[in-house]
Amino acid sequence: MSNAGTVAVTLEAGDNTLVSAYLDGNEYAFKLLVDRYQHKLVNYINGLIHDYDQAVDLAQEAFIRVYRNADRYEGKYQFSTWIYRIATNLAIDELRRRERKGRFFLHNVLAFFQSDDKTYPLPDLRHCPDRNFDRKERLRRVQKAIDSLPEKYRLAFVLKEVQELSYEDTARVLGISLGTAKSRIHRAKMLLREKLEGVL
Amino acid sequence: MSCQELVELLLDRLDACEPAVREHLKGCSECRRAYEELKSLDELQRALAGTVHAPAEFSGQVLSALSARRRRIRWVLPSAFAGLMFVGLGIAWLAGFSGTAVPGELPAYGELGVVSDQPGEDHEDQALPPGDRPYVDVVLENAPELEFILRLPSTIEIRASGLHDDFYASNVSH
Repeated sequence: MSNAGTVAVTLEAGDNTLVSAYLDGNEYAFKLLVDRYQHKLVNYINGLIHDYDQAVDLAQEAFIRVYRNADRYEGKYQFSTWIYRIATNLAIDELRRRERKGRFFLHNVLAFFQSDDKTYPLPDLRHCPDRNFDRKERLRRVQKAIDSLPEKYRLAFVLKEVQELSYEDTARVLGISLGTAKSRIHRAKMLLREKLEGVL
Repeated sequence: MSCQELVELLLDRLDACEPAVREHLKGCSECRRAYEELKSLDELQRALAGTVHAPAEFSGQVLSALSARRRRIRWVLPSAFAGLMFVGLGIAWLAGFSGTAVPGELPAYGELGVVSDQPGEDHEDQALPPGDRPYVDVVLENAPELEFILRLPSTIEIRASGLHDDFYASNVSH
């Protein structure tokens, strides 16, 4: 890994400084970017596609695209916006691919009809003495409820609330207006409140 | 502040602590419940962010994949170029000597920007110096990743079939 280039980098350097250093020939700067975003990206993609190995592969592909297209990065927006956008597109492509592939398998058709994901009805447990789910179970249910959200709400919600991007960055990653992003996130929260009644 | 306004505000900023918010929450059990639920959701969704991590060897794998691709590109590009040259020569040979149409795995005609030197002109009518072979350059501008020039004898016609989206060259000199 070359540490050449005129721009010196440190662990504390900002993302844009690292991209500039990398473009200047300092490949160590690229490694620092990978180190900085690897967990976030794997977690984000895994949260969308629920396949850890594939999430790792797609996260790697996202970094490879960054490496190859770094000269196109304008620095106008944050680096995180750019890499999340690439990761989102890769995850969506994967979900679409599965959808296309899945249509042809009978067990997927049966699973669709048997699945409770679409409406996710939960019993009203507000007055039930055993409603104290352990934390693991609550997390599982929250994840399942998030998965059952329509894609446009799910992506906006996960970016803003799980990955903790700002409203502005969420809108940029998804290529939508700020108002639309806010409205999708609010709608997602309302739906989750409904789906998780008795769990929250 | 109405209940709806308060919930809208909490959906936007759960940490909203304006006096009006505190006042409303104190006196409205329904909104207090909404607040508690959103707070719980907020805590759980944050916990989801840290549930998986990249494997320890992740960055090493990315860097290895990049080196592997670079090595592959070093070999693939010259090979692809040589292959293209070979195919191009084959097409030229077929078009020039066999007189048959040449179907190919070329992109659909409509996807290509075809630019000739003198579009619309009949090259047969041009007077050329004796011994000079007429030609027309055809540039396929939108060919994926490549821009190349086919230099063809002037008697070749490029036809596009609307029926099958085929793209082929045929020799009409015979």
